[in-house]
Amino acid sequence: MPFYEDSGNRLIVLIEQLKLSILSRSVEETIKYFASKSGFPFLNQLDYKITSQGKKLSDALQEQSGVESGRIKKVLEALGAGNFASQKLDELRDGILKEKKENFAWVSASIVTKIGWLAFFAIIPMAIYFLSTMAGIFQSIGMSELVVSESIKVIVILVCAILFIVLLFSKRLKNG
Amino acid sequence: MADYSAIAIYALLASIAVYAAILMRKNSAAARENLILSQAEKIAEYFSSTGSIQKALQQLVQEQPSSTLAYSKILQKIGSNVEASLAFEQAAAESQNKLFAETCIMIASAIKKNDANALFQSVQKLKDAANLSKVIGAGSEMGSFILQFVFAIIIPLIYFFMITTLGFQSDVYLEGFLGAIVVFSALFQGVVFRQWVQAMVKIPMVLSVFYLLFFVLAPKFIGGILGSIV
Repeated sequence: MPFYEDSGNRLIVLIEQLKLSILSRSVEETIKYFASKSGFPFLNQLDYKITSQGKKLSDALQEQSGVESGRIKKVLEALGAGNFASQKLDELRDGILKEKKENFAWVSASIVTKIGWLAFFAIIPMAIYFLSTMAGIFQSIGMSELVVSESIKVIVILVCAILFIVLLFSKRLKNG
Repeated sequence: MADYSAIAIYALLASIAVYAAILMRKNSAAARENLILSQAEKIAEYFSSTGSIQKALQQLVQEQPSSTLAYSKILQKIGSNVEASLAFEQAAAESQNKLFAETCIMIASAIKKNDANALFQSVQKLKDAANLSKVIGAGSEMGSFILQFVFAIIIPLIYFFMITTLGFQSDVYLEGFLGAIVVFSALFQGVVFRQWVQAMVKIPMVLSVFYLLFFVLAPKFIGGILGSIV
């Protein structure tokens, strides 16, 4: 995936832009400046609260913070940290990078186990069909309890398909 | 059942061609992003050493005349008495490339404060993030490839072997299950890595292979070992 298509990377770019901007502008001016230039809606909403509704920066940040969650909430907290805003933004950016590294390490470690389980669920129906194919032999040697009925085959296939899909898309495999 | 093998072969070839085109476009976008970040780093370096953004741009344009057309335009604007930070902001507004626009905004902010060091550090952090994305991207691609190799190639081949050579009795449920595995393995790339275009192109690719393997080839080989015993 190209660098700028990743939402985490876009946020890192915004953090660096905000950091550089608050060197020469106030936080209010920075929010106003990026409201028109950035693709992040929370900046537009903040600017609307400050410019159109006449709210104080701290009130607008607090109000917006109640609406947002996750990393955006942390950006808002950093912007409200006064003289420490730049430092807080640094910490947030380092946190995002660290989280990405940890997620990736986890995904790399878990993918082999996951493939093993997926293969297991993919092979089970074949084992059931093996028993089904051998029905004549089982009956001739008096082990008819091993003969698999049509309904059991369908149930096993459905269960395996559901487990396969759930495991395939489980969050543990999400990209960092 | 009607024979759709010609359609399947055309669908397979067309999806392979589209997939190759997507990969080439993706690689070209990644190379463009690398160039933008390394040029921003150079500007920060030269800005720091010369103390002037105009000299920094001149140095960059002289070094890389073929890939700095956008910076040459900014330089021309600065030469015609447009304020440097404004020239970068205008370039950001006019640019079609989002990453280039974002770096221009960063450079404009650094010019306002005349702080080349802060710009250099910020660009370094973006490069770190880009390098990490590359490592994650390569690892994820590998994981995705292994998964799809196993479930779109190895497992269907095992099934093919079981049905033809060993002679297991297959039916529509088993073929439906295997088809679902193959399609969901292709969808995996879209859901987990958000590469929907690639995932959507892979579906006709794997489905056409699946059709050719199980509906065209398999019936010709059925009658295997187990089938003859039973």
